[in-house]
Amino acid sequence: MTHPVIVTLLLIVSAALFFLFWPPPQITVRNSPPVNQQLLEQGEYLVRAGGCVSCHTAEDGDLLAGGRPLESPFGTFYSPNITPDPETGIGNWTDAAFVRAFQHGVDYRGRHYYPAFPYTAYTGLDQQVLLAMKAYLSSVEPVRRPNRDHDLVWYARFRPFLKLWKFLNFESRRFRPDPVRSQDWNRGALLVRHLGHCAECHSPRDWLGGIDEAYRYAGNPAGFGGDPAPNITPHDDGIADWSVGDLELFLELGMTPAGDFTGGDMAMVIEDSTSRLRAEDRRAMAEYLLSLPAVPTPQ
Amino acid sequence: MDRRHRSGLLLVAAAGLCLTVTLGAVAHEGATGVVKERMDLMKALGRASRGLGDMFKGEAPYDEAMVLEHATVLAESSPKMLALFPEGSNEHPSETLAVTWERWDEFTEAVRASETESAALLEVARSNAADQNAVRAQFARTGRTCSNCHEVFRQPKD
Repeated sequence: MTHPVIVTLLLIVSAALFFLFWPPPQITVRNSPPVNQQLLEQGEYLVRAGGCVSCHTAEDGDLLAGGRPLESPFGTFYSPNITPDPETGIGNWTDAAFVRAFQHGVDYRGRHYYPAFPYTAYTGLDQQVLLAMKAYLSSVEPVRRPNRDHDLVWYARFRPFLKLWKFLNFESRRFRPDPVRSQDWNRGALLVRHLGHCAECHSPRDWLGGIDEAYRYAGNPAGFGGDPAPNITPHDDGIADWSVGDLELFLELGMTPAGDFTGGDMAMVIEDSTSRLRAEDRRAMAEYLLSLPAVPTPQ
Repeated sequence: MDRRHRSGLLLVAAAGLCLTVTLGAVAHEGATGVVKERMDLMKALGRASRGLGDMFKGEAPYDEAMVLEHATVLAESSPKMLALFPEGSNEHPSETLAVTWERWDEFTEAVRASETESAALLEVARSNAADQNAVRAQFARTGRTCSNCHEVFRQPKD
């Protein structure tokens, strides 16, 4: 009788190991765009819109050289160096590795990323966008700064378990415009959902750190290591009484309709990202946000 | 207890009462008073900012005289700010964080920046109020100094 039990257990264990250690997909990049001034400018714009600068630049640190702490209930993450330094940055990364990192959430060696790197949002970005970003990142001043290891609780240190987390919380899928909606709305959707990854802070998370989908964009009153984040859906708990113009001005200047200037982490997001966007992109983001379903703030 | 002792007791009690009242008054002056004063000042700044914002949003007609009026409020209020943050004045309902006095030099510098930028805004409003883009750009720089302070020295809003 013991043999079938042992065999079954072995099967389950090996299935689990296969699942956890199954290699990530390979990506091929056929047409890398020629690097010219236009591509670099486009890339810089996208890097700004993506919020890369805020997390990958430490306080008083070099631009994009990493080292900024991100607190969470699972410990402190330290952002890596994404300058083109070949040893400590991403200077040796191929285009394919770069694209795969965003679309599939793995590093150049195929190790799973913690979702502190918001690939759950970035997965919507296509190759064209990502390669423009890479072209810009390759053009910034290389800085030699070795990455600092994350300081995590013991049960979060075993990276293969992230495969399970991804199974529960992640699907690799590109953004497809909704043909029924306007061009502005679709632009806003791309900026809010994917590049701007607004939901990462503005949604509550479950005990595994996954976004609670029922309350996406409805705020995270407890914060997630960082500041509490307000509800950004058009609910009375959120931005129901904000106009498109109110949101545009907020994303440009950080000023609320009451004339208050925001502080906290959002002040940094505005300074590093949204204030640097084109006015029509801020307008598109505002239109998209006001089109979200109205959801009450979770208690 | 004889009479002499009684009068002495009365004297001590009277002195104690005076001291209590005085301390109470001082505490009131030093805390609630100044917190309220600076909240009122912030509200005035907020009203002026909102007034400018409404014009940029097109919710109010763009009026050069109003630009000058709001810019004047911002430029004249900002220099009053620093004196309204005496050390330790962050009891309820104040939203000021204790770190303000731990990093006082940094705080001072941040407030001075808002004085400089709001003075520059007043200058633009006086000389070039018709140029909405110029006013808006300088207002953005002024607002950035507000956010920079709130980012570090004010309780996060929930």
